[in-house]
Amino acid sequence: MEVLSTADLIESLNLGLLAPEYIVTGTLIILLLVDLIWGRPVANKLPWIGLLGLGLASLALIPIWSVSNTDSFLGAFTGDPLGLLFRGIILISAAVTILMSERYIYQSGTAPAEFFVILLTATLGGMLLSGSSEMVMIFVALETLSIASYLLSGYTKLDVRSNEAALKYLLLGAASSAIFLYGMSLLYGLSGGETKLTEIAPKIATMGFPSILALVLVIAGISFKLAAVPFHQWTPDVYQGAPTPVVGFLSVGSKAAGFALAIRFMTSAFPDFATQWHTIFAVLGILSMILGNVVAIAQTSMKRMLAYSSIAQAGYVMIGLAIGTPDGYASMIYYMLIYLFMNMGAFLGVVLFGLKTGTDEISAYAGLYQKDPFLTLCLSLCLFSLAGFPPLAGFFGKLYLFWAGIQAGAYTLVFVGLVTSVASIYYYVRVVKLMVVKEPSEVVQKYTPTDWTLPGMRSLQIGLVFTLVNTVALGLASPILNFTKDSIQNTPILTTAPLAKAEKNAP
Amino acid sequence: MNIPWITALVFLPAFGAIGLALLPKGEDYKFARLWSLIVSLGTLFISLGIAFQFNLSDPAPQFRESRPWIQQLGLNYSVSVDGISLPLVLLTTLLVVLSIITSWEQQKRPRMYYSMVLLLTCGVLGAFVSEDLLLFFLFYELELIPLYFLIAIWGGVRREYAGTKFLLYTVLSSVFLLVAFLSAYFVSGLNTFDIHALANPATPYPIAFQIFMLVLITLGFGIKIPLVPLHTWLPDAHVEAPTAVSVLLAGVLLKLGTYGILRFGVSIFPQAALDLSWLLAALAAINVVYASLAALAQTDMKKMIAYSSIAHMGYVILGVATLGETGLQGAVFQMISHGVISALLFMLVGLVYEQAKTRDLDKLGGLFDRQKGLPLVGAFMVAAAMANAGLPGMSGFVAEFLVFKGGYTQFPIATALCIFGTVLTAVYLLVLLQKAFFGSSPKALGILPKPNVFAYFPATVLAFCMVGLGLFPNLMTDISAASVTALAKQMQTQQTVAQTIQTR
Repeated sequence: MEVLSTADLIESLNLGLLAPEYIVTGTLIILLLVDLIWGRPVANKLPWIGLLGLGLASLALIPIWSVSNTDSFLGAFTGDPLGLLFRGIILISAAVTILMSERYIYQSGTAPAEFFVILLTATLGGMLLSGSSEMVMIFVALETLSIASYLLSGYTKLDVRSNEAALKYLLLGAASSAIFLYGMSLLYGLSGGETKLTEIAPKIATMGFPSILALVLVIAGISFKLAAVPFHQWTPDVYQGAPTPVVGFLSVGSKAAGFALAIRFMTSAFPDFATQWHTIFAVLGILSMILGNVVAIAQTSMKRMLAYSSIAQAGYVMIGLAIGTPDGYASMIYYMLIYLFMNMGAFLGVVLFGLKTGTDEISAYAGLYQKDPFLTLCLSLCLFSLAGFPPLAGFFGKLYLFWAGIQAGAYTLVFVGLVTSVASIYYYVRVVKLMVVKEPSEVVQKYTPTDWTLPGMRSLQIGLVFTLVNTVALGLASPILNFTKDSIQNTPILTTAPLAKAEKNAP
Repeated sequence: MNIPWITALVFLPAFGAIGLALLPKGEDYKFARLWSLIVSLGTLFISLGIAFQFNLSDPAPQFRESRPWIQQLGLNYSVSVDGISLPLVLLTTLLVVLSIITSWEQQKRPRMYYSMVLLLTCGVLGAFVSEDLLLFFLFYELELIPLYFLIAIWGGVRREYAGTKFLLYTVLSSVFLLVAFLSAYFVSGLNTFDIHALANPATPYPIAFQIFMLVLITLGFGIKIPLVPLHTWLPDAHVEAPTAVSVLLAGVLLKLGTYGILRFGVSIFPQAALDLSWLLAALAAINVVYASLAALAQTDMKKMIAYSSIAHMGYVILGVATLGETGLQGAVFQMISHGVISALLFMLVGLVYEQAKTRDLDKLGGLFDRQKGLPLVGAFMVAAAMANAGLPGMSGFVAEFLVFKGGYTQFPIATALCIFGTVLTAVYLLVLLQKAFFGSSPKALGILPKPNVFAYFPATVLAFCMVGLGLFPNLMTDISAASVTALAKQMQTQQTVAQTIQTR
């Protein structure tokens, strides 16, 4: 091996691609220091520092867009447009989570600084996961995200259910990490000691059963992050017990990271097994859509309902993965972006309502329209968007997914998606019906209306208005769709030869 | 200056709705109703303006506007009117004005109520003028939520059940439609949802695909029309919906189904339509006979009218199934005629219910009584019943006559069954009149208060339309003639093509 000079080494590391991650890391160190030095008196400034850091990190994503050499850290990290978009989605979801959790954390009586620090750590893990293309890096990033997520879900330590959630999440998560790691160790052995995904692919191409075993194990590990049925068992309990803002982050940011990993891992390491993983994800998608939507109907707790709804929504996104066409991937990103806003919007509404009333029972929402029309409007639009009604963004997101599905000839997947979305309308509309049609419940009667005028705007309201505007406007604006499609076309791993083969094999 | 009239027509109600929703909260119902009346009158005038500038001899779509929207998906914002959609647009704008007047005393949550009515108008008008399958689909779904709220908030006792049922059924119908539309997009290979382009593909669609498409589209729209095994949501929705909403539901929304089959099923897949026309005719006959018999069994006036409405949609389907000029003309005429007559019937039932607080035929009686009853409502009811049963001089006669004339040679049995349906119509309407209006007034009913003179205004307008269209059917057929003839000609060429292929 030739010895590189320091300058060459630094040059070949291509450090600039990780600028957003440096900024996030810097922000979390600053947060720690600020809290350490000034303590309680500046506690209410912390979220704004965090937001500032996330904003800067998002800006830092832009110059990376046009970089031609996307390999960084000797191929451990790839800064291609696919990863960039997912990093952007994770950053925005973290920012919205900060807006959501500001009041929540103060009201729960726990220390705010550590919460934001752990949240930023999870963000960092998710962002690294979206770009990593080497197995050690993937595992480290995944564990960063996971461990931070366990901590976050148990953060309200005075709440028994939060503790239960954290423990359950930890145990199941650790098991799934072990499975994932086992799959990767198989790949390492089969490929004769390669850790880079793209270099594994040619070495395992001709191996039959062993590489399929590795494939199945890896998918099992990733599916845990995606909460795909049957790897979803942790979701309802964790979602119900964990602090609501954390649930918002888990259902969007963590899932986005999972999808980024799934796309990259599958297309880079298993291009020759496309038929197999397409079929697996098709089955996972169908199961998730059916189970998520059907079980959500029976829920009485809003958080649990949203938990099952998020399982179902991930099922729709898996259509894009299961067909494996450029339009499929583009529609996944497009849908994740829209899902980010509509789901976060719903969670913001739930947090706002929960902070004022202390409950998340669906029946408690009855008659909210009469007390707080604007909150009702926000929640209703987000739920309608999740259900896929036009002209909201969710409609266009689903439309693109189904469009891509029919394009690839995946009639079964699309049909299941459409029929289960009919079932989903029942439970989304039920909440809206309660809020709008019914007379106020006892809880709502004691509800103090929110101040929606500009000076009274708190972080929660800012977040709610932000997500609402995006939920309404994102679908109507066609450039976004262009943008996701372009980004897929500029991503080398998704436009190489195996993909063309994959297109023919689509189920 | 080139004014985009159609866009103005579709989005004026939407802006009216948003404007009304944004107004300060203190405004009372009087302001809200005045606002929405002005907005709906505005749309009515725009649609009349379009009608007066409409070139009657041109079968092609007019007032076309087209601009790309989401090009990656092939979605274009392209709208137009032709001889088939223009009458429906006029019917919609007229009925919206009348239904707003019908709900003039509505005071419960007025701002939301009128916003929803206006949004509904936007959705329906948009669906009628869309030239793009996906745009149609968007508007078709847009209309669901407002109508759901209109039923679920302002409806009767079981309103939430009826509203949810309506919503789920209609969304299910859109599942079939979306699959069909997307398949047409990809199979045609044209990368467009434009209906004119899709109707003339470079390589003709394989016949099996055409049949698959037509079945999907018929299933989808069959829920909306509704066709008999899929109809169960409609009686519930009608019974629970407030009068004004029933008027819109029967008058306009059901037409989306028949219009959709005509425009997106038959026009785009003519060969399959020729092959499956017997099936459509059979469905039509089943619809007419089953729904008429069901109407006969009802004791709730509104439910009876609802079944009657289902039955009369059967005639439209029979007209469509003929695929000939006379039959299609009859189908288009029947859509309008049914819109007017069923709207009138629902208004009258609404008037009775408002005064008598019951719609049960066993509890009503003697409404013709000058002192105690509602003689004027009765007079209107007799007229509407005659029109509904297809008596000459009324619009129902012209429409049904055209349909039967067109259908007789092709489908003698189905047509005979449908003619039998008109007899059944006469029977159940006579039962209704006899039970509710004739005889002596039951004691329990007491003396009914007379409705405000103003309340008769919408009924009068509709009665005039009903008689006017019956005496001067040319008013209507002139508008639709050119487009219908073009469509029928297209069918004929298809038929000759099919025949030459067979004889070879």
